[in-house]
Amino acid sequence: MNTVRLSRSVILTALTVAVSLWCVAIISAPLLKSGYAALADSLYDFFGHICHQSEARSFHIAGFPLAVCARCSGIYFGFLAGIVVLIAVQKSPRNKVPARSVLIAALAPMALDVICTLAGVYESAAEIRACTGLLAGFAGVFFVVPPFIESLGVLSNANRLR
Amino acid sequence: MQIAYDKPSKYRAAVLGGLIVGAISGIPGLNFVNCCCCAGVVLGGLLAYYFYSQELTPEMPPAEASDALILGILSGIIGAFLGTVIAVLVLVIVGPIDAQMLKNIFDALLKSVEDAGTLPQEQIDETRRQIEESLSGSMTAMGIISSLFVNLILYPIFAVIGAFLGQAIFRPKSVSTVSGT
Repeated sequence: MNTVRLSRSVILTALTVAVSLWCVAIISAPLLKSGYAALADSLYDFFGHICHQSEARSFHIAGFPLAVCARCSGIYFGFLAGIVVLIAVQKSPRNKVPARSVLIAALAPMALDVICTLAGVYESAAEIRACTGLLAGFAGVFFVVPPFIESLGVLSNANRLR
Repeated sequence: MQIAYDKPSKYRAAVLGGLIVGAISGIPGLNFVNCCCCAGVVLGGLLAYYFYSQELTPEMPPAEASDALILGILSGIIGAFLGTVIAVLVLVIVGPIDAQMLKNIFDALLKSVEDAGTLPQEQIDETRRQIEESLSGSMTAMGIISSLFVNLILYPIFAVIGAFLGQAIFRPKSVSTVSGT
């Protein structure tokens, strides 16, 4: 039991560090743009693979846009907040996943916002995009991280038995 | 005596998921979906899990989180390679054809969408930029290789997220934990 808890805490710690570095990189790009342009451009190029980086749809720091748009920023920072909450509330090694209705409810505002923007119903503001992304990212943690921990535990046990 | 069946191989589901990832990533215009937080890759991982779950019968053990993890990783890797292959094929096919003629066709299509006002201007501009990049042949061999390298890191991550979301959506209603108990 202690071995399982130690492994779970190690995995959660590693995940927290990784996601934190990811969020720091998003913020670092505009902060580095003035003094370390080459490094900043590398960060923008990297995140350009996963985001349209439209300046009009991004938050700005020091006059430059974040490495990802407002919605993506909300998702990633929401994910980070979710991991912190998960560590605080889920002390049991039993990796429970909430009901799928919770996932659908968390994703629905973001989906609705995207659909309405594409359909031309309204032009979503950056704050709305960020908030809907924040909700989706926060809720997503509880559906992604527990099975991730479970799967690593199963795979490590399988290797141990060979 | 109850006969226990082994779970099916994951390769078929992973290849199908990877095909979806690769198609969305490599086809000009369609790859705009990935600009929304790699939604196309997440979708591929989600569908990979769905296809795998469809192969399971009541006699087989239920799908587990480790199955979703492996499916996501495989479909992400396959999708990264396929997306690169498709992008290169687009360049090869466009090469012999008058790229300007194709660009004019796409410009006309985007202009009609722009006039209709059905899409936001920024999205139209982004789509136009991506199509121009795909048709311009400006992607060098080094650019393709570096893009493949980055995608081999990113795609499995987002495909695994999609697979876990797929497990949450497509799991039987009686299952509330990832261990299936």
